[in-house]
Amino acid sequence: MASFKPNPPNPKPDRQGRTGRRAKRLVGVGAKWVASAAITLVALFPVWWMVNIVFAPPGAALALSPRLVPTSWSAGVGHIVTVMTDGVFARAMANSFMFAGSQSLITLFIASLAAYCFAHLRFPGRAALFAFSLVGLMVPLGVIVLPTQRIVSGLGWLNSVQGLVIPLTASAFALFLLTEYMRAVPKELIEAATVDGVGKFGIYWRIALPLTRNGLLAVGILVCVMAWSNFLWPLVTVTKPGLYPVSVAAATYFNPQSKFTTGDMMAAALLSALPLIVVYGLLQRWIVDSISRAGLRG
Amino acid sequence: MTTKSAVKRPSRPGRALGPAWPAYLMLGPFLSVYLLFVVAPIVLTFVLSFTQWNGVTSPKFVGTDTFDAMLHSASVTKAFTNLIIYVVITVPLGMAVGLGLALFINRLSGRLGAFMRSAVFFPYIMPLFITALIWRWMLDPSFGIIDQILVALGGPALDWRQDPVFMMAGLIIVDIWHSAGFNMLLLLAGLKSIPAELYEAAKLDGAGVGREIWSVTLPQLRPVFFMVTANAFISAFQVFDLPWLLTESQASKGTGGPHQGLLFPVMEAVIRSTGGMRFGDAAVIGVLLLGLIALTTAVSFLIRRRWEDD
Repeated sequence: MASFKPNPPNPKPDRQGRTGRRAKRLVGVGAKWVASAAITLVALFPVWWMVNIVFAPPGAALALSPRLVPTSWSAGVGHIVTVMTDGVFARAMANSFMFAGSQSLITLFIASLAAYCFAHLRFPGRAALFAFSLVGLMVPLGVIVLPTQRIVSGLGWLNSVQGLVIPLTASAFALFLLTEYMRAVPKELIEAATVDGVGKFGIYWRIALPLTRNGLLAVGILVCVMAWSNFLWPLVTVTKPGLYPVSVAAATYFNPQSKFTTGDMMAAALLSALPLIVVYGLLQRWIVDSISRAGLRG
Repeated sequence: MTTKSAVKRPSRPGRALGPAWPAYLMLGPFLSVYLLFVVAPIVLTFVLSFTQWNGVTSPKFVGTDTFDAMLHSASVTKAFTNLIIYVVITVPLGMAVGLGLALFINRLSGRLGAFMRSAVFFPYIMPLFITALIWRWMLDPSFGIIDQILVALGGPALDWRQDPVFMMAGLIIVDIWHSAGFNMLLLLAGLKSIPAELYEAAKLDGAGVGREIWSVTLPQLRPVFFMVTANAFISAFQVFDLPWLLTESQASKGTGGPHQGLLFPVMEAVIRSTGGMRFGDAAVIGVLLLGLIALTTAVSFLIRRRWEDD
């Protein structure tokens, strides 16, 4: 994997030594750090605030003199226990792992298979089919969500795992990115394998897939995050609490008439965010690089 | 699996191009899911828009009656008015914030630059439903931290819950907090791909920072900028999670809160169909949204071609 080298457009000023210039530079450096700190604060504060409210002593979330640091470990644990034992949320976490996992595996398989065809096989209608497959990039689910729900309903798939997962696996976005990655597989390798008598599926499975590992991982993580985050689709296809994903389960904490406190609500949000925070914490550099590179291909 | 047969079937040596059928077979899984759950719903949207359908009995063809009813419905008009206001503010503002952040972070080097990139992108990783949960509490007029800060600074406490102007402002703030990092990341990648020689040439010509941004950076950034803008428009048209969850309460489920201040078309479509069993209504709203997407795409295509002619 090529490492990401920042490429500063402005090389260091070639004339140095004049005091005015040096002072100006110092001010510039100071401003740079102050601005960086302010931007970081805005970006991270809301998430910090969520943690802060979960671990606040009872009543403190409603206090008019907010504390900026978590002070009560036991209150936070209490909120988390409340949420995990409410009968829905723990199940919803497990459901979401299952939905996100299966959605990304199926997407990766069917989209990479199609991507390999578009990148390396020649057949009548290839360009037209590819363009046709990318129309989905311009039509987000929200716009067609109810007709899609009608089709799922017609199949008898409402309130089912397949109804939640399968319709979202034909991702034009995944197809597009994976086609770019597949194009990077050297033609010579594929020709050599063909000469050796390896079939088309064999070349895909044994040569193209292993060589696009990084792309598959990047797209897989993105699909996982999107599946985990999806709220609208489960909202219109699932009414059984036992099938709720974490998004719908967490949203039930909004109900002002529920017995749950703000601390409980924030604990639900925190627990839903935790897997993403952990993954991002571990892989942030790599995730950010992959998306940058993917974006440039658009 | 049927595709296994492709493994065993030896290709004739010396011929890179085999028959076409294995390709169609391998495209099959993706294309069938795509046809069933992306293409068919688009077609169905158009078909159902000329009907009224309760989802149970068979749809009744009503010509353009549903269109008439929707265009004269107060709540649909309100939803689209809100949408236009929202899109017209949040897309340019979001692009400006994203571009500003990208230009700033591009000037940082080494670890600080890498850290800022990750930190600013972080909100985008937060799902919208969590974003809504957090910000709804932060924007609470009685207990929210934002109003407490405003009051402490001597300002007024703003009513983010009841006043339609501040409801919309709050939504846009939350949306930009969430999406600025994504815009920044793609624009930053675009900035980094601009050849350094162009900047050196500009420097030799004696260009200052402003001049350099205007005549080197922005023109070079155009393709990426277009892609990010198109994406921003498309995701703004289908805005749902944030306004739905920011206004959801026992009394008003999905009606956009007081004065329908945060009512948007996808919300209206969901309420009319899953609540009111009026799928024809939802289809008309879908057609109108598809029309908006087509219009924006066409306009951006024209602008782009005109620029490229320059």
